[in-house]
Amino acid sequence: MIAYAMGTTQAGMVTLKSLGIPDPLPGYEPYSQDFDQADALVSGHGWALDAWRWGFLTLVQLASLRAYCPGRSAEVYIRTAKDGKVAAEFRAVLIWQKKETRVSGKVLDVVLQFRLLEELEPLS
Amino acid sequence: MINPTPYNSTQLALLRSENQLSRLYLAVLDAPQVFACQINQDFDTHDMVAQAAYDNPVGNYADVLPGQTALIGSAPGLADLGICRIRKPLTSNQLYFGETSEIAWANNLHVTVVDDLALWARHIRIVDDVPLMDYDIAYANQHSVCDPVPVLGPHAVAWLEGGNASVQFDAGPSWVIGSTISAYAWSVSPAAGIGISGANSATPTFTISQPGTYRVRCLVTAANGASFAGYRYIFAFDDEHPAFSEFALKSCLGDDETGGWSFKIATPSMALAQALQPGRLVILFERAMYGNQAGSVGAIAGRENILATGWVTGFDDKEIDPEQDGYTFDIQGAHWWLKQMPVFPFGLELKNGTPTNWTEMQELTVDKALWHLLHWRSTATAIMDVVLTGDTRYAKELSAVTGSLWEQIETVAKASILAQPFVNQLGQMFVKIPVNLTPVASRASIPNILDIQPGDRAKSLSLPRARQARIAHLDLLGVAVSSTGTGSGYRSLANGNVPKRVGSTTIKDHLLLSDQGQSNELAGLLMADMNNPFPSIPVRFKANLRGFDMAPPMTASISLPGYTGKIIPKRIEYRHSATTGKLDVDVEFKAETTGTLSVTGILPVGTGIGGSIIMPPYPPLPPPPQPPINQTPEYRLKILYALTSEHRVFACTGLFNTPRIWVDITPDESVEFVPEHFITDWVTGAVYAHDGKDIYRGVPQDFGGILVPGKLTKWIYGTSLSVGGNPANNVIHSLTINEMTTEMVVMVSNTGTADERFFFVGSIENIVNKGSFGAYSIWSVPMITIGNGRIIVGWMQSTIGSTFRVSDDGGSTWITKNTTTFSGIASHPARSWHIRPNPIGNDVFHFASKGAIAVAFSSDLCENSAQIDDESVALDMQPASICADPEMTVILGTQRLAPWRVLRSLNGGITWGTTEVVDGDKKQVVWAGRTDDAENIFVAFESSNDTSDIVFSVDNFATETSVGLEIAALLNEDEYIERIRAAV
Repeated sequence: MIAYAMGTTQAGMVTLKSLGIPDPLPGYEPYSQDFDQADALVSGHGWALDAWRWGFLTLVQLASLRAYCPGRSAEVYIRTAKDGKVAAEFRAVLIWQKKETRVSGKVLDVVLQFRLLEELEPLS
Repeated sequence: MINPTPYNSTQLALLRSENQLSRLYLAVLDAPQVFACQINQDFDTHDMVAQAAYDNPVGNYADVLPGQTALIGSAPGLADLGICRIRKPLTSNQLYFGETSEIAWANNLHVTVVDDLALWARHIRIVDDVPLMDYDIAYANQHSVCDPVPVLGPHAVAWLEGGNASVQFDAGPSWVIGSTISAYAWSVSPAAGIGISGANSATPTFTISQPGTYRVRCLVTAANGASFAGYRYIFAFDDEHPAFSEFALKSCLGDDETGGWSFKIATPSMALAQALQPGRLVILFERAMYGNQAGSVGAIAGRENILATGWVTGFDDKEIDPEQDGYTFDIQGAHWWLKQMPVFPFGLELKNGTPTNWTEMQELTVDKALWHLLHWRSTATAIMDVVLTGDTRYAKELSAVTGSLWEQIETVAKASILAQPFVNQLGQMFVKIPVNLTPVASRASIPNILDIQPGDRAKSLSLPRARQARIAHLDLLGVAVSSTGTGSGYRSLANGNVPKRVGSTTIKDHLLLSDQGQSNELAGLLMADMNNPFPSIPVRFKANLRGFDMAPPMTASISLPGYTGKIIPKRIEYRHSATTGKLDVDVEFKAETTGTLSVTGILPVGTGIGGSIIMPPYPPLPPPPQPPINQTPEYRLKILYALTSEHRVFACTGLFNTPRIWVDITPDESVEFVPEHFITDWVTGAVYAHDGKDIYRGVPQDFGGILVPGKLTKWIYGTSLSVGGNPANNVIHSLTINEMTTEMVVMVSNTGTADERFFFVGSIENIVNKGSFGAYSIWSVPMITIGNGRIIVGWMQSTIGSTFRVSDDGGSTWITKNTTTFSGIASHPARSWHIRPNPIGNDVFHFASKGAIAVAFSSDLCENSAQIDDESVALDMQPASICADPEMTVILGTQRLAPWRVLRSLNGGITWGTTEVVDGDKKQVVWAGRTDDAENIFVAFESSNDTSDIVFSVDNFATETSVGLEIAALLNEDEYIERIRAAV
């Protein structure tokens, strides 16, 4: 099990579970841009990406995440699934989604985008 | 820190790694205040102000450096009235700034001097015809004891990791004209937070422990005793004091066509927008990753993180990026700023000796002229690396008209040696000879940065190929100048005399060359480059690869279907994706070319009617000069022509230089010229002669102030001047050229039409038969002269009388003036056929004799009268042995009867001074004029069957100097100089 977490510092990360938020569906990508080479190979470049997706979150759950990103974007620290299985900690830029679909006190299709992922050594 | 090196294996591994990303930042110079004060005087005018009294100082005036920027404002710290440049150290109560007319000066204005050393023009000022640099710098020895040029390396940007960072500079490439660098002295301001090791070496290391902006100074001293300081900035950041990053890079490109780099950013940040004040130095830099490796891979060690350097031109509030919702700022490199700086005309001439003023330079080269421009006419050498061509070809003169500093640099560099200036992404200026115009044997030192593999570049690559030659025929002309200023002309044709099947013809002239071989090679190189079959090879690189630039010269190599070989960068664009962090690098190259076929060309000498030699068209003749108005024109010797007794013609353009080079311009065919009509014009400097049948002309070519004599070729065929009868029997009796307009007058007859002469007047393009001059018998060759538009024909009718006729309508109607009845000289009617009018005035001198021989003078072009000035001198002169300078202030004659004498009159012939000539015979005065140092100087020649010489004298032949040694050596046994003529 991966203990997904977020914080404003690496040491200050708290798990989503402690915030009452279920684990997201992660979408880690090691490259953000492909390059078609003349030798027919493709190389990957750009910073690593991640995205946390939920079918829905309650307004309270979303507000607890929003505390880390009051604006359009913010630098955050996260623990997430790298390559789908392995937990890894990153410094990243969180980009808050532009539109929210609210239904009965819930927000549907929540996606938090992370870019500029810089992998960090775990503190302990 | 100026020459890139090929990527090594470690760098290549990084460049070929995956997961490359780049975070971009801006370092902006926020120059601290150095000193402040208030103006303490009133001003009569705002125009041409260069100093002011001050009071209320804040800070130490001694801390102010020349070159720093002064803000002039209505309140402390403001620049609402303008800015100017401190031009020399302040005193305790005087400010000195670059001469300005753009500030409304007034008492009590606030002056704030900030530590910003920027790019400025330094204007020349003329006081009493004496040029002064930067307002008041008089010439002492600045062109013989030259200031060194500090080449320190570019500005630096450091990011403190673990609390410190180190930055190196390298002043080793600093240079000085005519000497060597002997010492370096580095310092930095502020001193806190930074340390120096090796402060007196070429390569100091600065260790930075605090973020901030540091101004580095290096005083470079030359062995000649001169010293000059260069300045650079170090911008230091850390995670707690980061550089500006809240912007998007809209564009960033360098282009050989524009001469440098520029970039544009958009930002929503008010803090950044306020920092980007117009004129502020900005450096675009990155923090990059290559896989797991942090750092940058660039061309120059220690500056790999810099993408571009420039100054803010301003912000465009109309261009608001919809996504960024911010302002767009344009940052341009030094090339752009130099293009915006108008300056006064510039000119240097080669001085054969130690220069004595700002317009002279010994052994003048393009690099020396560029140094003068960049060092004395701007602040460039203090604030940026300047590296010149290294070319050593001499130039007689180099000049540029009013324009921008950049235009003047281009004019000097491009027009003479095909070099071009470029300011690279690091802000270093190079004036370079393009790779494709560099001799192939000299290209080994040009670094080949990268052998581009298929995995290094994008899959798609369009390779436009020029299917046909653009240039079918190249005509290259130029001159090789010696260190003393004498010149030899060369001409080369590529591929040869016959053009290619398709393409245009082009002429590259006024070049500085070395010799015929170099000329031919350059013609081949230039032709090949202009017909480059692969003028554009665009390559998109996989890597964040920023080692390429347009200067200094460099290449890459590539293998493509259709082309394998070296390629040369010509345009580079960086594009940064804000969503991925990837920096895309697009480089447009062109193929290297290595020359093509070329041949030696015959120097242009003009075409004759029906001539068969293919020659380039002559440039249009300049318009006739305006009559002098309250101004004394200066006539100086351009070319001296000599006609020998064997009808060979030689020309010399540097009679007062050593060694004198005489060029044989004798026509290829055998010709017997009529010596009396061996003449020149003063517009083109051409020489004319005829052999009774055809007229020949030799036109010099002007190569940047150096005249190269042109070979005499048949110009006008006598058979083309129809006067009735069989044209083959046409005879040219006389010929003259109006020196001031090149208008030609020819007297022609036909042996089948009695003894009737016809007059032709005009030019080769439009020569008109003015009709019959009538039949008459003559005892002498008729002489035609033109004075102030009046044609005067004189001839000797008998031993006791001569006649002349005048025409004021170009030869259509004539008035006869019989000397036997002419007022004033009726007593001396003979020998008046030889007449010397002033071409721009109404004065005429001519001989008059009856027994005693005298010089007669008419002040109305022989309209009504003449006078005998001084019969006592008893001149016995042959035709052409009287001469007056163009203003008729000095007339000269020679006496052919023993004792041989040269005579000079300074008062129009009323009195004469005589000097006995001891040596030689047939001494003849041919020209009076001024040398470059404005001394009157007279040229004569003496000849006999045994000796020939040419002499000049500056003291009425009290003493004389031989300048004929070189031509005497060219003469055959029994050949002597028959005539000499000067083009002034």
